[in-house]
Amino acid sequence: MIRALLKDNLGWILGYSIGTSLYILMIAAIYPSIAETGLIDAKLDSLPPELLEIFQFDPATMMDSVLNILSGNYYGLIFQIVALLFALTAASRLLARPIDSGELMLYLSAPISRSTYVFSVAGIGIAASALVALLNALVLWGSDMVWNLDLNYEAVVALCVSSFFLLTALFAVALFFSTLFNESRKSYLLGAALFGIMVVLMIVSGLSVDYEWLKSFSLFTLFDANAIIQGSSDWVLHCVILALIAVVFFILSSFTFKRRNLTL
Amino acid sequence: MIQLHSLTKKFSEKQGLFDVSFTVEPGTVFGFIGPNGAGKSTAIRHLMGLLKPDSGSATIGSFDCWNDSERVKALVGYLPGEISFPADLTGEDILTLTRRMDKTSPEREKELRALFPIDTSVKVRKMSKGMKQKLAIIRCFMKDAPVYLLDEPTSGLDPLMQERFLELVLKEKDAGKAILMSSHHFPEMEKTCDQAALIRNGRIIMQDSIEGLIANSRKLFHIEFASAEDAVAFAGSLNGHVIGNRVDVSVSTTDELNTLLQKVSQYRVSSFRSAPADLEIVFIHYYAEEGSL
Repeated sequence: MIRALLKDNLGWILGYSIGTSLYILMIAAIYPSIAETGLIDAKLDSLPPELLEIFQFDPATMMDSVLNILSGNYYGLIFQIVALLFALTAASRLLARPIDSGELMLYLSAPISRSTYVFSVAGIGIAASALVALLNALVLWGSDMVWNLDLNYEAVVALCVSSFFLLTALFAVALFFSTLFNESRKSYLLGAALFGIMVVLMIVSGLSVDYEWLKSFSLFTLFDANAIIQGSSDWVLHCVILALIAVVFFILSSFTFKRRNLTL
Repeated sequence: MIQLHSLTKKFSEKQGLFDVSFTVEPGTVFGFIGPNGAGKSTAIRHLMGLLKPDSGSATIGSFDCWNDSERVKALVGYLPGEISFPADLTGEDILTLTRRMDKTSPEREKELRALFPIDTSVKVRKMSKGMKQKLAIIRCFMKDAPVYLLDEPTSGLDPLMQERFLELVLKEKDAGKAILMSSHHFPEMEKTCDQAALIRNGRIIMQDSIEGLIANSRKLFHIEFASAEDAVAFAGSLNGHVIGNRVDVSVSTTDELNTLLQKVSQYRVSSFRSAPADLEIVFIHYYAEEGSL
């Protein structure tokens, strides 16, 4: 079953893994020329500090290394959007859409329990998250070999491990929503709305210290790329919390899916 | 082997299943007949453990279909009404998956592939309805199961494949399998089924052996009159259907038959013959009533 599911889902898994890795490769490739010209430094200096605060850019350190660029540009912003799209796609392709289209019957007509199916697709989602994080790390390592970027590998490992747990936790939440409805559109909308709110909360919390508490309602708080690179993040603890969230939502998914009436 | 006992599942006032009971014994085929949306697929979904009954029970073997669905599915070969396979898998991928998940025998698979030839290297997205149906039939019967649940099994098949399918069903019946088959195709039901039930608005309204159903069914008579005027006048008094000088009229009770004979004696009749009794005549007017609702 896992082999068939992997074959059916390989397209989008490779799409996210290779797409994000190519972006990292591009940043790594242009970093030496950016660092030389100092053009982006000048651009950043001209931006209002409030805007930099919202997107967690630190102009003093941002151009110091390729990791600093990535933490502000990729992991600080683009990756969060990619992560929520990844989670929604994974949950939709692995559970919501097969329920909606009736394809799920191909697997559920065999003598397996619904929990077995949920935990199998959870395994595929986890493997896909690992592939994204691993390929991103490998591209960074390869870029360092080619362009001698002088990477801090402790930070690279922390970033990739944290990104893996963030992807897994978001996927687990989206998978839970997929178990609630027979129509994939509904679960997709609910997941997208929740993740959208989480991103907005992160942005609003950066506007003023008065709103900083809003951060605690967003899973993205547990992935602070800037703090990881500066060594001020308790990223191991954050990963443990993300893993626990993922486990709880996988169990909840199994629990609700087992009791659902399915009109396949 | 297959049993629904006072099963009720209410979706709305008219939709769902209401106090439905039937039993399918080993070595028999049970025909499940009814208009679209009558509840046939809902009953089969209960047997596959997809729906939980509000009351009553669905069992296969001695296992409850909701609580012991894994054990039940080990006993069942299932052919769904709507064939929906993942579009990017090939026919071979699907058969390989079935081989592994259901632990099927290669000999049986070979026989079925010869019976329903299909190019398994094609992706599902490129398959016609008939190809998908053949693939689903091979997949269903690859498993040498004691129970088969077949929802509209010949839909999309050409006449030759339909014939082969019916032969396969009869062979499986002779091998002692319990088979539940839903269909709108009366001749195939008549050929294969031992018992049949008509379901409408979620309720079984008629259930008997095929012979019993036909024997107790409405009888259709074709009566040819000397003139079209006579035909129209006669049809008006008995709710008949006029075609030129001919009137088709059906009766179900002895009283109705005697009334018919009394009325017809008042006209000059050219010919009077009864239509051959078949399952279609037993059930077709129920479909018509449904359509007029």
